[in-house]
This record gives sequence, structure tokens and C-alpha cells, in this order.
Amino acid sequence: MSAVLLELRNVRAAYDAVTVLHGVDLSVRAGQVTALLGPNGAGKTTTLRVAAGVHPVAGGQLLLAGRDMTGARPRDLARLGVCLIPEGRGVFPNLSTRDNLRMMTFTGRSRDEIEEIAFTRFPTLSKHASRAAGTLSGGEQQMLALARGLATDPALLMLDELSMGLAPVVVSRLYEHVASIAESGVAVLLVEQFAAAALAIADHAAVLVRGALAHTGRPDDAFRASLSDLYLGSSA
Amino acid sequence: MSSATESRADRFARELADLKISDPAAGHARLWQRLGAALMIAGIVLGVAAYLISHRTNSSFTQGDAITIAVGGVTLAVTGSALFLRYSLTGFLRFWMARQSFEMNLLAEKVFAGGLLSAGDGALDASSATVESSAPSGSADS
Repeated sequence: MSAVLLELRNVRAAYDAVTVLHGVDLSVRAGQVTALLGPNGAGKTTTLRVAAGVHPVAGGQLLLAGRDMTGARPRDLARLGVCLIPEGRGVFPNLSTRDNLRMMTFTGRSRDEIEEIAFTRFPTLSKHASRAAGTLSGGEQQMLALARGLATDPALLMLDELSMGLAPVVVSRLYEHVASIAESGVAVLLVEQFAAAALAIADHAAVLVRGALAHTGRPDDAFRASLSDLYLGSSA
Repeated sequence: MSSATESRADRFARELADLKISDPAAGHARLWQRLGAALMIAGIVLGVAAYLISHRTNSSFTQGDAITIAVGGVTLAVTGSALFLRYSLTGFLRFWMARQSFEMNLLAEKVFAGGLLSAGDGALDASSATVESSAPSGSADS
């Protein structure tokens, strides 16, 4: 079994006086896709922000490859290969596709190298290299965001609501790319509201409800069957 | 040491082990920043208090004490300001430097693409115009 790269142990997090995570335990393995599902406001995005070091941990531990990194600075984690692609894609809308990619040269990779990574995986982007990123379609912007993430040579890739505002056919194409990224050895943590697409590629899944893990396991039929109860709260 | 067969996960674990984290305590920087602000305010308050003390007495001994308090206040204010600036500006400057570095690279590429080195004075003038026109007039992506 592959190594655990990210582990959250009894993690609690809060926004001012409001606690949104109540002791979350989650692990993500190298080369696997872990889907974190749950209804709106369950604390999924906060979990990702905690794992990326962007949001402080109010209690519990954040471990990376077995080392306690609780409270580490986001830039230290990013330098190591922890990459968070936020909801809303996080591209620079006024810069061209090429300039968006060029911004990633801070990682030490050359512009040519980054463009090769991006355009090989997403040939569509090469056709729109000179266009402003804000004028690309939602799917292309998401591809650009993924390409920018890949330029950082991530060991742990976290994706927040990849499918937001996209057509199902585009989402399934994007998820194929995500599965292929995981196959290359990257640990992928997906956060999704819409479970079906995420579960199609996930090796492991967890459902977060009101800031606590309600269910974890392999995304088999039994897991799928329990989802509606968990989302709608009828089993609570 | 890295090897050719080392996986990304192995490299991640190795680099984690090598990482020197200054202080993993949550809110460390913010704590120092707040301490700096508190010292700065305390220093100013002490300075004003010392002025009022010295102003309301004719005793040279009391005035001497007030001077000591004032000097202490100034020291606190300077130390506090340094701490506050150190921790509040670091993040901003880091981003600013990254942005500057990107802009400079872009500018250099535009200048070289214009054939600055191979042409004469006329090209130099032209490239100066390019420099002026491409100078950032504000953050395009902010």
C-alpha cells in the first residue's frame, strides 16, 4: 500500500468563535484520489485550507508524510509540494494563458518546461495561449488552473469544487485528467458537492457533515447508497 | 540524496525531513506583530506621561525620573515599531518582490525581442519607448 502523505488527526478549526471542524480524521495516500464529499457548509473547503496551512488549526494535528506540520507556514508547505487549487480556479483573468503559466516560474522551472507540461496535458490551452484567461471557457480555465498546479510539481494536489459551473461532459473530462495525475504518483484530495463524478475516480471517499466525518470508506455501491441519507440527514 | 528511482512521495518525505521550520506554532508571526503594536503604543503613552509629569513639577528629581521614563518609552516605541514593521511588511514585500521579479523578466524579454543588442542608437530609443509603455501602471491581476 502506498505511503500516507497527508493525515489530519482530530483536527478542529474555527472562524472566530464559530467552530466549523469538530475533530476531523482523514488520510490521503500517494497515487490515490480521495474524495471529500458533503453538503454545502459542511466544512470541506476549511478542511482543504487547514491541510494547505492557510487556515490555522484550533486543535489536533496536521501530519505530512508522518511529520507533524501543525501550524507550518503555507509557503513552506507549498515549497514542499502541497498545492491547493481553490474554488473559482485562482487564475489571473487579465493575464494571458501564457502569462498565467509564466507566473509559475517562481518554482524554479523554466517557462518552456512549464509550457511543455501544460500544453502536453492540455493541448487546448496551446490554442488559446495568447488569450486573456478571463475570456476562456470555464473548463479551459479549470485546465489552466490544473496546469498551473502541475507546474509546481505537486506531491499533494488538493482541488476545491472542480466541477463548479461546468457542464457534466467537461467535468468528466477534467476528472479523467485528475485520475491520470494521481496515477503518476500524486496524492489527490478532491472536495466536491456533486458526488457522482468524484466517486467515479476516487479510491477512497469521506463524507463530511456539519464539520464531522459521517462516513468513510471505498466508494462502492453501499457507500453510494448511504450518501443521500448523509446529505439529507435522514439517518442522523 | 535523491536517486533516479525516487518517487515523488519519497522525495516529499525526504524534503520534509530536511525542512527547517522556524516555528510551527500557530499564530507565531501574528503574536509578534501584536506585541510590536502593543510596545509601540505603550512607548508613546509613557512618553506623553513623562512629559505631563515633568510639566507639572518644579522638582528636578521628579523631572529626572520623567526623563528616564521618557527614554524608556522611546526605546519601547522604537523596538515595538521595528517588530511591527518586520512582521506586518514581510508578507507584503515578499509578494511585491515576486511581482517585481516577474515584471522585470517580462520587460527584459520584450527589450531583447525588440533587438536592442543588435541595433544602434535608434533601436535604443525605440526600446526605451517599449520600456516606458510596458512599465506597470498598477497590478493587472489584483
